[in-house]
Amino acid sequence: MYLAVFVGTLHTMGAAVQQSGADTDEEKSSGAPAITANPGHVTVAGGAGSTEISWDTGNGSMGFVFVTTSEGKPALFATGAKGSRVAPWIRPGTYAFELYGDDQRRTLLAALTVSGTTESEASPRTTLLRGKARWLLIVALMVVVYIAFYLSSAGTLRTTFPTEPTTSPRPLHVGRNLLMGIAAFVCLDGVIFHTGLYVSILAPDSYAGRLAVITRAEKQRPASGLKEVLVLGDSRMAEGFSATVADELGSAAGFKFVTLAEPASTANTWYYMLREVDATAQRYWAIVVPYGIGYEPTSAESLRISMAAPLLRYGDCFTFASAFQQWSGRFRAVTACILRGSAYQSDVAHFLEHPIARIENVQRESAMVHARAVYKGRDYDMVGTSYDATTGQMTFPPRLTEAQREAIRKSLLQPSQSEMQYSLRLQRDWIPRILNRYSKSATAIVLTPVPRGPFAELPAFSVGQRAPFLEVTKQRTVFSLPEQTFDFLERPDYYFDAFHLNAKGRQRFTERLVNDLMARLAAADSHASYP
Amino acid sequence: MLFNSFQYWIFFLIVAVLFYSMPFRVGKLLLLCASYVFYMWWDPRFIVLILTSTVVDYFLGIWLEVTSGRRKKILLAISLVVNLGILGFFKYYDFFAGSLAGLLHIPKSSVVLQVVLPVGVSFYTFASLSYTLDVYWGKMKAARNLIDYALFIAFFPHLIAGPIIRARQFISQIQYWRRPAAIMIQSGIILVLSGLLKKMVFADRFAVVADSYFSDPAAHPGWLTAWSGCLAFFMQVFFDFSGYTDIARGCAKLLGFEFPLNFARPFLSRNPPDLWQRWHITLSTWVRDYLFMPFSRGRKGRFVLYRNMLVVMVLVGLWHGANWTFVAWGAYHGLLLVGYRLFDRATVGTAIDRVMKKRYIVPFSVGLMFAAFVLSAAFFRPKTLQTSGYVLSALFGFQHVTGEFLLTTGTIVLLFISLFLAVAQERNQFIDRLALQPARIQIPAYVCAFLALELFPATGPVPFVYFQF
Repeated sequence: MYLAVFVGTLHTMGAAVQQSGADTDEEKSSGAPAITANPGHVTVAGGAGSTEISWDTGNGSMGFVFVTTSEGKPALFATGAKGSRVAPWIRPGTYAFELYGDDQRRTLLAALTVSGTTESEASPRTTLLRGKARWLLIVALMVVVYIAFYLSSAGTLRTTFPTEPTTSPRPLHVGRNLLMGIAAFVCLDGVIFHTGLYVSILAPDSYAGRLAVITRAEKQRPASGLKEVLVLGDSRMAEGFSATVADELGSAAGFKFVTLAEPASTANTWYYMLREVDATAQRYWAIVVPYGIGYEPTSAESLRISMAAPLLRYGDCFTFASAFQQWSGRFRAVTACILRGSAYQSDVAHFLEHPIARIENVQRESAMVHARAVYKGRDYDMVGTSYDATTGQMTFPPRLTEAQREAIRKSLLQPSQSEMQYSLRLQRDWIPRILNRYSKSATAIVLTPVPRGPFAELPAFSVGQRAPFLEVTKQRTVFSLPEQTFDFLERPDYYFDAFHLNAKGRQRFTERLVNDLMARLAAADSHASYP
Repeated sequence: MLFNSFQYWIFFLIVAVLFYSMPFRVGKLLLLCASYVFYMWWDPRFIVLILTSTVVDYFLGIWLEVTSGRRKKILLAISLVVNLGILGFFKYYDFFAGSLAGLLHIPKSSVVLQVVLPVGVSFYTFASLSYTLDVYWGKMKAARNLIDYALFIAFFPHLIAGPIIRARQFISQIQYWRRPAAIMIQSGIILVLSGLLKKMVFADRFAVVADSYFSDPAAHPGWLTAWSGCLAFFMQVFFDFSGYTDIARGCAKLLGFEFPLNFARPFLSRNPPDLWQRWHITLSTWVRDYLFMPFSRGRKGRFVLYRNMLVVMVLVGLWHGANWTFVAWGAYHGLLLVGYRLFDRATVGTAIDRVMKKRYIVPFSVGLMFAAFVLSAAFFRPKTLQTSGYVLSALFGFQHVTGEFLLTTGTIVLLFISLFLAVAQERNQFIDRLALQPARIQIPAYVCAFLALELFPATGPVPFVYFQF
């Protein structure tokens, strides 16, 4: 259920953290998302000028500010629901600053263009110093290059170049050295990447980093002494389920709700998350596992590998690889299980280029977890939006911003049949694994459908949510909520795009889920005892 | 089947295991079959061209050896027509027909055939030509074993992008093949790792920068942008091609064969002739031996020499691709060579000459040569002369804009690592001598190489630049 590509990572992004105005519940403003620059037109003197970029997602949800320079490659500039940050590197040209609701740049909330022009005025003192430092660095590098060339040029001009040696004065141990090199490499990779050493400094705003952070936080969370219910899921559950609301409803009955729903996660990721946070398979009273429509693009294989990487072990090679359709994906999956570093390539490169920023981000990890906990959902809906699947025509109500309309348009792109089938296959393969893991446990597994969307009549959204796990629900501790449970939510006023519930939908979905869940668990409780 | 793909290494492992498990006379047949399979993996249709070239030149070689006089010249002409005909048609027909149509104001579509370029055609054609020319000139005896000759043409490590090997270097290795010594295997492993690092860690990272500039130079004005884009491009080309060559040489060593050196730290060149002794050595020596020398032999006069130099370099440019930008690239290098010869001749024995040879001046010569070489990216990479002109105007600051420095911190670090390694290799064969080092040095070197390959490659196998030539 790779739905994060549509909306992504709103409440999970705790990377909420980089901006100066990290939000709190009270500070959250409501209204249209906005991004401004002060000044919007920068006069560049002494090489570079600066402007202050301020942004606000308008509803307290996480925002991602990207900047596209003349290179044409968008780069992440800042994150957070609201804040401001100075861009001190404005040069002659134009820069597009865009505020997105997700780090995949799918949900454009607001945008602006900053232009820089040259001016011949004398540079400010700071610019002068910076300019001097840059020249000093250039001179130092030139000196290094000069010395290098000087050292390489001993003697007269060469006309022949020797090749590799053909004899050795002593016996060589080619195979032994190579094997020992490989063994040492695998060990080193294990020490760095299989232990928590590198995982602790994964970029907290990456998919893998977020997953590692929330899994670690849940693993370290002390037992509440209540009946703990864990909710898993992808972005639809992340948007649709609120642990805070659920606790308000369930605390009287002695329930405590925890969510590990994470955008872009799939059933196999949930399995590994469960293994990590619940080693004994006895920790939770119940675990809620969603099922139903979704789709999984093959192009997202790398993402799925890197996302699950923090949870993998050497022994997962073949089972994890079996979750991939293409041989290239399976090969990379096996490699990631053995050589974990291969799953963190871009993360390592980014860390080496910006080590200080990374450490600062990592230190704000708890803020991210907090931002995730207080997230309330999006406050706009799709009422008045209509879509004709045959012509592709869409009409929007005037209150929606262009960015919101674009996000809705993108979310209505129809996934291919194979992508949807693959998503179902993942569920069929991996949800039974979760069930098997708890087959001897008293933990109840609750399979729940999720509402399909405001346009359930569209082909891609109307695939019957056949319960593919009918057989397993015969197990004593496995329940399945009826498929029609959330049909009442499949209306435009509960959605902010074609897949994801808005704040109102989130409230209603959580209420219904918790009420039904407690009723089912109470009924089961009268027949059995739980931990 | 790219050298930097898992698929290739499975293929190579199977071939190597089978090869060493059978007698060599059967093993070389296996290598030949494997080479054809390797080639057909790209496009099975074009195997016909290799087979044609192989059979024609094999029999012509035998006849060339036993005939003389006019008949011998006719046989050589047949070989040249067949080989250059294949190359000319597949590589240059569309280019020349299109250019002619442009001159005559005829619609291009009426003459252009959209011929698909067979991969590696420039390389194996030159290898095959060198054989018939050597036999014609009596520099070697004709091959009497078709398998040996076919293997020389099609041996998979060099088939797609060189190095351009000579028959007299390679066929004797087939005839006197022995199981490779430990040092050869060790060198082979180091070359393969070095090649993979050059390609996957260095070239593909510079490619990102180069692509971002050359995808639309007009969108990236400024001299700094242009220089950094051109620098990134030539770094990409160097690491890409020399990485390919290293892997090819390494694989050949692992199978008990030696390929010639193709690159020798070209960015440490002091002048244009020095550059061509270090850059794509097998091509530059090929054109020297089979084009420049034959046409210059017995002719007097500096003008003829310089003219030949220029013509040969234009042909070298054209060898790289059927495009006027490559012609301009070759002409630019030809002019550099001629210009340097004139300067050298004018200053020899003078104070300037003595100063130029001072060791502390040499770095400036190297820097100047490096800049001159990087400048040639303005011809090499763009698809049209118009774009080349735009890039040149940017390089020379005619746009009056500074622009952005495109190299990232990562690529700058890679530049300095490569500089350090190049100097170390130039001074004392630092990398080559790794093969002789004890375990306490070799094992950490392996670990570093594997870690770099694990953590820093570009995403997915990226094709090698020289495959297009």
